Amino acid sequence: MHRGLPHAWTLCCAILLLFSSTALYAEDDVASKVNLSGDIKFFSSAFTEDDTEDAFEPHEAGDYNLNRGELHLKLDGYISDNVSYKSLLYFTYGVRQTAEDLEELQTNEGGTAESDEMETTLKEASFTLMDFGTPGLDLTIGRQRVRWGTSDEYNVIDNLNPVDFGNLYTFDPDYFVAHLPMDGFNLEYRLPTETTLRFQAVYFLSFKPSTLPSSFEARSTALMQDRLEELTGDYGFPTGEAAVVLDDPPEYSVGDGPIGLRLSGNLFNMDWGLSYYHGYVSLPVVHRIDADISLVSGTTLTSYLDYPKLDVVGFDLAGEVRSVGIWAEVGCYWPEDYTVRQTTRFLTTSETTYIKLFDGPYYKYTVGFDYTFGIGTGLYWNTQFNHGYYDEFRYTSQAKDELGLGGAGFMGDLEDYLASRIEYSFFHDELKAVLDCLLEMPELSDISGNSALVVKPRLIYKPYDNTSLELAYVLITGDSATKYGSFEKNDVAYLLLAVHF
Amino acid sequence: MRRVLTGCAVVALLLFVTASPAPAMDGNQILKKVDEVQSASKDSVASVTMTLVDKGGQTKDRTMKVWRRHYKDKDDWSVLKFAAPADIRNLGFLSLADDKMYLYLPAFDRVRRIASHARKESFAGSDLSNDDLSTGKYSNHYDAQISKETDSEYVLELKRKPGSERIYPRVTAWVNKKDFTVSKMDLYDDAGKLWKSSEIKNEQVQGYWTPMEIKMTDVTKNHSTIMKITKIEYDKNLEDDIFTERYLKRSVKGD
Repeated sequence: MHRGLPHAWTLCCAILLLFSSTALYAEDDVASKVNLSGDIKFFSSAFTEDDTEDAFEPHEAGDYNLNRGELHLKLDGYISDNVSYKSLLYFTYGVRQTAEDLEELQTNEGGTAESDEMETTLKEASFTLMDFGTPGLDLTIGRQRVRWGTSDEYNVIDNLNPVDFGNLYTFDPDYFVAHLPMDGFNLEYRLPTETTLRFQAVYFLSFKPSTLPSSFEARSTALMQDRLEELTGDYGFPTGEAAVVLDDPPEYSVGDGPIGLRLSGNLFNMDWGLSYYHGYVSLPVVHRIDADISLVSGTTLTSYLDYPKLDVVGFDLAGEVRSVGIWAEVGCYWPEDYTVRQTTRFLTTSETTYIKLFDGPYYKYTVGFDYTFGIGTGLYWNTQFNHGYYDEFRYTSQAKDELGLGGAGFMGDLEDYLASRIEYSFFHDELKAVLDCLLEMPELSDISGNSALVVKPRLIYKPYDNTSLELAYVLITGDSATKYGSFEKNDVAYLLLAVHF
Repeated sequence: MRRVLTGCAVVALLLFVTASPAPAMDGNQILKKVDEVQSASKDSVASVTMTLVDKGGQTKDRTMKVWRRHYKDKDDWSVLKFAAPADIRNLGFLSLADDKMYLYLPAFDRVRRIASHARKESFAGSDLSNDDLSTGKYSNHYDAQISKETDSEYVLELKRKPGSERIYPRVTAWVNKKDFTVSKMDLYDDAGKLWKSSEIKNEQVQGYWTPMEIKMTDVTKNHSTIMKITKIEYDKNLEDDIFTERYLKRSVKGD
């Protein structure tokens, strides 16, 4: 029941907004205060390489990876000079390619619906009160995305909204490391224009976890099963089942909502920001492991996951040096003192040990630059070095040794990345060629032996206004122990069509 | 009151002109006058249509709204927001003094600082570069010399000042002698070749000379962009708040 409340609240907001906008439409003089816009999008990706041996997602070249159709509706406008609103409604469906059986082909008698399931998401629904109480003070209430940081794609201080990892390997550019909007309050105060100082305070009503890659549970369980077999193998005990369970997530309560504070300004022609985040890690990490040794039914191993608390102090900077655009961000991460309780039970005896999980505080940082070369219409180059990805932590050596955590996979140790993009436009932006590259480097000292490379050439064609077609190929290569290298045989080609209205 | 004072000044100037021979103006003085005419009002709000015309005659239309704050002694400020087409609606551009430029990308709901390397980039697929939207005064960035003079026009040769980051090293401008409006400009690239040419139709609105239509042609591509002001209002006493990132992120209200 508790979990359903925020949805009901935002839905009510959206309905109210829709009603209010309908009323505004009726008045000709203020009709322009309502804007209905959106887009229709179709994304289709297919594997280009066989990987029939993959334990989780076996496929052959030509198999679809993802087909997704979407309708996005955006309603925004002004209720008065000082009150604006914005809502985003997403209708998404996954296109089913084949029917599994006859039942799927039958619709209800007289029904017109096809059997495709559609998902409706109220992505954003908020209103902003401008100059609220005093000039320069804006208050935004409702479901919203609050962006922090100045980096292009990989921000280390952008922690308020959790990352959508569900699309990490779909490579849909609209969702790749996108952040999930949350319900709450965003207060921004801009000091008088003689200064550039701005203060921002954000409070979201409750905790919201990140969505996870589709095979997260299966892969986590498989890792635990391997560990179980190692444990029992040493003693010759029969092996039972391993399980991974989400346990005791944060409550839907006032105290569990994340807060953020930020002060920003401009000094010596550089934009800067100082920020503080207090909330939860948005990914579930192990907090308890129970091993039950049984000589009869086999030994079982259950891993319980939870969300630890986290504080982050961040600093970001953007500007230019000798006409080169530069930016930098650093986040000092303070996870709570978090221990994993490991209990081994055998007959009537049990033994418990405690393992500290995180080695904190630790830093994530990024530095980058962009430049446009005067070649033809301008060759744009953007490069960024990143230490620490959204899903990475610094584990203690005890957690690595005794729990097998860390490494270079998803939710592994802090790694280094070099991301680069080159863009060139033809025919007055009608055609754009883009080359994205991402080099994953778990160890800077061993790039040749332990790294992964993702190369993504893209062509974006806009034959008419409001219409775009994107064709891309995602090539992944590298060490199978790395985050991206483990998907080496998952190269995909995709087509993205979008029409805006 | 301002109009009365301006009228008195004009009368005084006329008396002065008739009483003494007109001192010859040099190129830089003319360029300063051009800047003064362009920044004569306190501020302005304009609705603009932008039409892109390719070499085959095919057109694409955009509409936008432009807010501008004028200063006599420093760079102007401006905010530009697209209203249509839908895929670039709310795309915004903020230009402040000292060449600080910001771009608002509605798809990402993000404001990006534009470094000076991006000045050459085409603005929204048009024949205008980001640099063309800069609000710096010509006289701050160029040295001017009179290359030709007719009864009605000065032809100025503008040479970029050392240290300026303007993308055109050389500009030729045709300046009306009577009102110091510019009717044509030829813009050259680093190699000294003609890159773009603009033709400007000026009209007086509320007593201020206004470039009601600008046709910018990229002669290397045979592609042009026509910008027409469909509505403009001067001296609206625009608040400072409009020329901020905060305002840049707001939706376009339309007219």
